[in-house]
Amino acid sequence: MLYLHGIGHFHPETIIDNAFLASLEIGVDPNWIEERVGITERRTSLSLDYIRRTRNQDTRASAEGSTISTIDMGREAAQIALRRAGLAASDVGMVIAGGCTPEMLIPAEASRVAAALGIEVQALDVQAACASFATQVHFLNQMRPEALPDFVLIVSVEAFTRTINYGDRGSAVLFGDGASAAIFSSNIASPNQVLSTSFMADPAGYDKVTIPAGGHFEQEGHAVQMFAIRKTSELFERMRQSGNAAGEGKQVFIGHQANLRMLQSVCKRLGIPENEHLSNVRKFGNCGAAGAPSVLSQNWDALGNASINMAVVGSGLAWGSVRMTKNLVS
Amino acid sequence: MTRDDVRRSFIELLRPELKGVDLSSITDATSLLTDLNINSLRLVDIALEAEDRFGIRVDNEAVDRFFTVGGAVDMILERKLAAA
Repeated sequence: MLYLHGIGHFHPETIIDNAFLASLEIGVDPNWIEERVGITERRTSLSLDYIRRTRNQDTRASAEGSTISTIDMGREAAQIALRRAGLAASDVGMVIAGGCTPEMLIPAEASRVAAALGIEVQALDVQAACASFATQVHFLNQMRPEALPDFVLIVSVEAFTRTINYGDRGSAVLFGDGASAAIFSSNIASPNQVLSTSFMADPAGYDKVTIPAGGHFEQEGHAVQMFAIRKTSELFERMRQSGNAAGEGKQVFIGHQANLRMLQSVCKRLGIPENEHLSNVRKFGNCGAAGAPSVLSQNWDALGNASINMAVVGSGLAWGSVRMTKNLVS
Repeated sequence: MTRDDVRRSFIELLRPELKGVDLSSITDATSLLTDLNINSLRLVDIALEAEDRFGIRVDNEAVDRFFTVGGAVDMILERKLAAA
């Protein structure tokens, strides 16, 4: 059995709003952006002046325009997760990181986050792009408890805006930066129990969503949107058929925060009411692997007893799910 | 189903998007994006709705064939024939 002990998130302070994107003169206006993707703001680790001046044409130079390091973002998220778990960093025995936008090809992002937390632990990345969080939890859920330390920190740090060509309106409107962190244990129980996990991939679609080393984010938009709607719908439906694990309590659905239109389409197809769907894409954009777990973190204190159904999809193509309860196991 | 039947049914599927559009002005060359001003992400919803309405499977990569009314109708017919 796998238990969640704490969850955290972090977003940089600098806001890219739709008026800023319109001011870049890339053929968008605020209404066009909101109507098309349902996003009004995103956060960035870059300075707005840097984006305006360079359009981020050379992603290898983006570190010079950064106002916060990815490692600091990961540490901030991890500290919230540790605080909620009532743990110290020294209680963590393993760090697993991974997402879409590692700052370095080597070392593992997990090594840098662990160093930032001042802990000497096993550190490795498990990466399945925007589906990384479910993938990491699924791997933990498949491992023998005795093979794991008591507490494992999973962290996703996304500096997506450093990979975006701000001359391309199709991608400029979508992405934001953020980090998420979660503390899991297979050995120490908590009131938050993972009920099931899944992970699958379709490697033939590896070229549908890419970020070449040193390059910009690219995707086949329509095909990827269709894949995202289809797979998220399938995963949500499968979890819903398992019933509301919270009984009379609340049941919520959290999807990959690709864009609001994708999420609305899934909810409409499945008849998921607004009050059962949690999202933050409108105010934070697509933060890659950090998106869905940051939604859970932002809503954590208000959730009460709940059954949580999370489905994430991403480049690879890859998809996965985590079904869990909050406050229901003593 | 004849091609005209599919075309009529497809335009019916589009009807919620066609406020203020003269239906008689729609031709096979009509672009859903530029002529009917349909949001490009909404195009994906339309392809998925077409799956349900016509009992076909639209490959993820085939959404681009929904750019025009004629392209969509031809693709739906192809899929229905292949499934027959």
